[in-house]
Amino acid sequence: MALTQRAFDLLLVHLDPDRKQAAAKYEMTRKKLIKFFEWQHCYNADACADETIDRVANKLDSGTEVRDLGKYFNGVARLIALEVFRERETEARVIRKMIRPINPGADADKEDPSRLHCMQECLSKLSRKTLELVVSYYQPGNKKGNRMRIAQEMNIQLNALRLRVHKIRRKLRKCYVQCLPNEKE
Amino acid sequence: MEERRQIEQRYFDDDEFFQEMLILEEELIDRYVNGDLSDVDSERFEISYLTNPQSRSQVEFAKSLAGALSNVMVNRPLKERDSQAPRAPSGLLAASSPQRHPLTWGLIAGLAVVIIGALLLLIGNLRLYKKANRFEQESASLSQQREETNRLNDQMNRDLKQLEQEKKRIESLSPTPANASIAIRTIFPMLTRSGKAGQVLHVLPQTTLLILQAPVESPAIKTYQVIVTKDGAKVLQLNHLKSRSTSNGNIIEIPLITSLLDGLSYTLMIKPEDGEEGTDIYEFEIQIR
Repeated sequence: MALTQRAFDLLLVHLDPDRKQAAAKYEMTRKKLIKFFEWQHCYNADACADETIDRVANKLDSGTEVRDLGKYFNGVARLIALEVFRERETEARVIRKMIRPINPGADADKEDPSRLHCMQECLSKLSRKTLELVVSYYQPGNKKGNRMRIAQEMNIQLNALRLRVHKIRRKLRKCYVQCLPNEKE
Repeated sequence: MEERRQIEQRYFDDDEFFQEMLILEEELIDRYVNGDLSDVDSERFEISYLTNPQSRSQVEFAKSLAGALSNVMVNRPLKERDSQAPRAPSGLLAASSPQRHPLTWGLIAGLAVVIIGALLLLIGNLRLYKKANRFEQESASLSQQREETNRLNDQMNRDLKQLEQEKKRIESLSPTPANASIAIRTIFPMLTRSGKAGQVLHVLPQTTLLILQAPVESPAIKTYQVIVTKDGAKVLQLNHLKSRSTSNGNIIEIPLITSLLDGLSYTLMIKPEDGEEGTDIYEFEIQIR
């Protein structure tokens, strides 16, 4: 069922009385839904997220009282995930048979050169300090011990370090996706 | 089941928790890509996660990142410069005082002598005055030179101190030697007598990141394009590299991931991006030892 303007406005009001805040919360909710569906075997996570939003908004428009919007979104999302999973189960079975573990050691020489080239370019765009941090953070061996030591040296908590590297990685991924012609975000 | 519901609910209600989940997703992908999951967990990961294109794209990205950052250790030598402050020349100042000649015989002759003597004295004084002036000027100039030399000396000492601090900071990034390797080398446009590739850059086997520092002339040029070729084929192209000023002049830094340099001899071309003429060409060879 398509989303009407009235239903959409009602949803925004339920998210937040302030329109600007409501828009930000809408974006965050949509992002969470997309990730949720990616993790729930949904092939087209964007479409599943939009379907969830449509159903919730239309429910509000029909006069249903919703006290906990977050909980309601969760419930509808799980329902849709289940519906999609049942439809795609056959497809998933086929894909499972096709996928093999990715071993960088064995397949290093089979790595797509354009991907490596893009990664090289994106890494070179980082500042030297950031590049050194990434190189140190991802070195093999005792990862936990190494990362704790890096955090201590930077005088920050381990979680703050993880968050910092996560943001750098997101930036790298954005560059990487822009570099590759057929890659999706 | 109840725990799962609670996690899902928190996921939707708490933005920070959502962020934490994204970080955990990345860490799980990394573990899968690096072969750190058991066979059972790997299979579960593939069944649960690799069933949509966005997730597969995330795994491909992680694989490329792992491939580019493989074999990481830290040891970064810094070039130290010797500085030798030239000796400050000593100053010199000389002065002399005019001499007076005493009067001796006959009034007229005496007067004449006095007048002549006075004239001679005046001329002599003038010469001496000019000499003294010149000496003073030279002394002032030498003092200026000495001050300039002292200033340069202080600047060099400050640069040296800064380099020492930078070296300590980098070494402190990893106290144990068993980690990532980043090497810095300076390259110059040059050829051997035979006309073949010039510089040989020695790097340790564990070096992953090689940063080449190339001097560039004009401070007015803002950005450069760098192309690395091997046997005529392009290996790497980097755009919009900015120059930076150092006490040795302007340089640009070209980061090269050594795992992508699978041969020995390379040609590197540096070209200004603002339409200015002048492409610098460097030939270098990498030797691992």
